[in-house]
Amino acid sequence: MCATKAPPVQVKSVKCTKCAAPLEIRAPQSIQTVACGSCGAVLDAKHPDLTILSQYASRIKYKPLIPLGTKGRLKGEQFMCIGFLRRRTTVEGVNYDWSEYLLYNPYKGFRWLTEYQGHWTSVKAAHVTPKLVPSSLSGGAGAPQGDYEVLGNVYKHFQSVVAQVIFVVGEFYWEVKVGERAECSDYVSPPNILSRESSENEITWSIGDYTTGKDVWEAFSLPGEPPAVTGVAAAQPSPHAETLATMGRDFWTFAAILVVLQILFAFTSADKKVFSQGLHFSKSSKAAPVASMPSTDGTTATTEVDTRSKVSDYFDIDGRTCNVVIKTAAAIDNHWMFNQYALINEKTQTAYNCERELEYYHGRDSDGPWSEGSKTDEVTIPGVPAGRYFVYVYPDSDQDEVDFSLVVYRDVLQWWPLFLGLFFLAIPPLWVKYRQWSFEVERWKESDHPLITSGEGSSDDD
Amino acid sequence: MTTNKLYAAFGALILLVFFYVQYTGWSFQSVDETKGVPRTVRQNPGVYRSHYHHYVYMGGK
Repeated sequence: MCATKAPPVQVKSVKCTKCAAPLEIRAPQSIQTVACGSCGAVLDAKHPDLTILSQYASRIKYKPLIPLGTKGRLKGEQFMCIGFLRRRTTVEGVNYDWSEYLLYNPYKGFRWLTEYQGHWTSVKAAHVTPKLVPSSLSGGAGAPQGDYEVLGNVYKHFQSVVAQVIFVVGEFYWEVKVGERAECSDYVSPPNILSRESSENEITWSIGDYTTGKDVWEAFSLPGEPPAVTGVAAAQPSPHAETLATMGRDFWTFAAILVVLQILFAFTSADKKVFSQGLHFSKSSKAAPVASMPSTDGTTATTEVDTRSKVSDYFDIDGRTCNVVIKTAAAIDNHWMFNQYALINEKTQTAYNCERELEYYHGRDSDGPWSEGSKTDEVTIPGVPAGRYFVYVYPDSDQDEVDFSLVVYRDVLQWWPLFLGLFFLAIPPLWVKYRQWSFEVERWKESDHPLITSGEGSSDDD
Repeated sequence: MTTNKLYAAFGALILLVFFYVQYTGWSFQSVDETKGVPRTVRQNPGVYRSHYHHYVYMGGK
């Protein structure tokens, strides 16, 4: 394809007017200045004698990670790296530096690759004027009056800083010089970033998209590994966003199925009363002497038979194997009752044993009347097959006499599985949601609109 | 993507457990099953001793 074919680049070799170091001009028709990496002089590329436009003496020389003259194919288009500059902004006394690489293609024009803490952004000039929209964020230092929209995409204001060029080498399409300052505002809509740069007499807009160091290294066939990534970049797409979207959709699908199943069980469960009986507990019936017999030592022992235990009448449980609920209501008043139950199958002589406690207390104090506990209770016995049953109950209470009743139901609908199922289903999406939120907190941490303001940062020194 | 597949499997498992719990009426409440209860238990309920009989409730107040 013509668009991806390597463009012809005419390299013009010259010498630096100031230090005579050899310079190569790779885009003579398109550039205005060329900066000497040896002495820091910025020369007028349009002047036949390469007159010196500015010069500086930097003690620190930055080595571009992408050597000037390196060709590469970035996002399907071939570019050559022709310029490198280092910029700096100072916020609360802390310097933040980043690198910018100017790429050139005779057919496509210029592109920028910016690098900050191992994060890369491929940037090109915006060909449409961003439209101002009301901001969804709180105003921060230097925040403009709103966000911007480009082609239906809303970019939220991230930060506004004053950037200064601190190092420059190579060719540029404007009169670049060290010390050059510009007001920069970034607006993000990951993985895209919209940048507004205003200097003394012009405002330029550019749009970038996040690129990984691995992609840059592959694009330019650079040796070694790209610099390690630190933190979260302004336009870095969240690795959790897609997972969260898919998981959220799955959650609602599973939740809907759970609800439908619950409705089906609600319609099909019998919830049938199969037995009820009133019983009476008396402390005096705890034990009764029924027999006296000689013991081995020749004395006479009295055997006590427990007459407190009760058995109900027989009742039938039909249908499929399902749960059985025994509901108890006891006439207790400021007392407790403790019942040991056994649901016993007449034919198989299988017993389902359980125990339940009832207590009900009430009174009046300085706050008014109070009560706690309940006079009723229920216990669920799962997996009970059809058959003829009776209930054995061994009651106990600190109340002398208690009238209580047993009501037995079969195939009773349970609601807790629905809520517990929804709870467990919600845990993974909530966890991913938390990680997504943490990622966004990290992204906006160094912006003008941090999501979390630290106690130190929020203190007012005034 | 792996996370989403795991979640799909987890969700399917939740549905299966939910169905089993609702169909059988499974409950968290402690229920113990005993085989071979004496047939004389109806005539003399005092002879029956469930595994809870060692427990003496002392009351809530």
